[in-house]
Amino acid sequence: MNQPQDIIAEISGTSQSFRSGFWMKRIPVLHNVTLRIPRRSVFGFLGANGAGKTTLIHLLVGIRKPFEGTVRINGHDAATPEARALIGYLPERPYFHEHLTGSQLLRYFGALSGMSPEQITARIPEVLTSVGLLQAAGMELRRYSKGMLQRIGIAQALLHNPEFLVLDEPMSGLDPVGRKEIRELILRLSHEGRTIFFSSHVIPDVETICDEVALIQQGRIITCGPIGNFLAQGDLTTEVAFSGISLAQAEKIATFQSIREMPDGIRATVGSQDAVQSTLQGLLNSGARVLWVTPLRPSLESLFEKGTQ
Amino acid sequence: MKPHWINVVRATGLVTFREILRDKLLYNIVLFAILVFGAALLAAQLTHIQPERLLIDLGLSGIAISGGMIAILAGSGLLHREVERRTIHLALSRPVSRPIFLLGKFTGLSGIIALNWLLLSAALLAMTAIFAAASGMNIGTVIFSPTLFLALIFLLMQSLLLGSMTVFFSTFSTPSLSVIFSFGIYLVGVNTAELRFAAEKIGPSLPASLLNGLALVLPSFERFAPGTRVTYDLPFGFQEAAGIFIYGLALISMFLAATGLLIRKREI
Repeated sequence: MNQPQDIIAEISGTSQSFRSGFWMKRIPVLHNVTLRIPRRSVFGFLGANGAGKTTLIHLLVGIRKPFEGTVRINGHDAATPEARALIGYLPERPYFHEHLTGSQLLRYFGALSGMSPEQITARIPEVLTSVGLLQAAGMELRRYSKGMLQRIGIAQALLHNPEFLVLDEPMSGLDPVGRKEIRELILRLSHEGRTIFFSSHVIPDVETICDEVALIQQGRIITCGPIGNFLAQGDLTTEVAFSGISLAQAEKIATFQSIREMPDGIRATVGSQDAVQSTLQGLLNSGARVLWVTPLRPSLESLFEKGTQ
Repeated sequence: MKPHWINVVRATGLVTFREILRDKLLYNIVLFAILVFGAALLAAQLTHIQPERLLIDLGLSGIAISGGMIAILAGSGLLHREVERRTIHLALSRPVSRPIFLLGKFTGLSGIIALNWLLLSAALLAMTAIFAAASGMNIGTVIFSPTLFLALIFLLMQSLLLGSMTVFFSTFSTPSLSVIFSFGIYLVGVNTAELRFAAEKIGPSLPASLLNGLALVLPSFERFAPGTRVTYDLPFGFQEAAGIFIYGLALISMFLAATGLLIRKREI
């Protein structure tokens, strides 16, 4: 029997619209969105720019109230102080008061979170150490690099030790090293037992670290569930690399999905598992030297493309 | 332990205070006030009858203009900057209510207005004392005047009122429109007696009723203007002074309460 999932955040039948133009006409942004975020999961929220990711996040962190439906965090309405006390939030491309130092910024957000000055003083070195910014504590934020700003953003989100972290495009605008650092940090925070919900339009970021994924398009959830279910949806293919025979000879041995010549040999993709055995046999019989055989799982990118079509 | 809302007001106020303090515009306004002081000193030296009164009159004008400019110009961008840079999103994702956040922002602005007022008042009194001493006058009778002291307090109150009014306008309009609204209302507000006078001259009619209505509804900034009281050192009565004080506080509270109601509904 399946255990009922422990849900930390629940978005039910939520629609949102914004007033725009001279007549303040309502423009719908989210349409009847329903989403359940399991506790202690790393939840990736994928969508193209303008799909409604940030709007949904604003509902989740209680900055806005939904036009229709409910958003609940641990059973509390998301707009209540009880719900907001449970959440650590990093906005997309965070902008902070740049005249403050890292330490002053954390003091400010600590006070807003209801922490006592003693608690803030004790907590600041801990969170700065966890994001690797202890040395930059006294530096004004205007001197921080983009990666450092992202990390101080995560530090302020972690300051009050929230159970639920909501990160809006945490890897946006970072170089590969910065992206790797943030990915590792998210995994570390997840291992500490926190629930992490993060939005992204960069698929490999989600693929690498998420347990659960939801895909949003034009304000509607297209699909949602454990990442394994997504990856199992596509066809499994196998890449075979070999040398010692020509491309023309290889094409006579089997039907490949794709084949291309490389400086060190030939790489070909075999469509089904059944075809792998016969293809390898044929290659060996014709005197080819097999370099490697790699199963290729479908990328989330291909599934994303399918979903958005 | 202090209640959470007090900590929020203090923390937000401190960040806002530091933010405005770094604004170059503030220093230009203070410089302008110092130039007015210089002009006042020059004018006083060219006058033979009660030169110290001229110095104080012009000096008070400098403080009023500088306080008003800071209140209107800094107040108009107070919320706009937070919304534009989206720093308000981070603040409101914490267990903080919008009206309390706004109160914190206004506290920071008030701190800047008060600091400017304190420095300029001290400079004016010091300048007047030096001038009096150099002219062989009794320093005590020139600067230790209850009328002058109350006039300075009322100027502070006027600037705070202008600040609260500008923040109110900034919740539903752009910074430039907020400046225009506040400045316009200030201009009418310092002339409410003239509005009533014009209504009386016109006689019973719709335009006269409209003028009287305007004079009744708009904040009467002329109550805070020292006018000839300081010039002739005419004392304020207790009831009158308390009345002006309560009037100012009531208007500030009213504008802040209205701003709090508006910001609850605003899409950010």
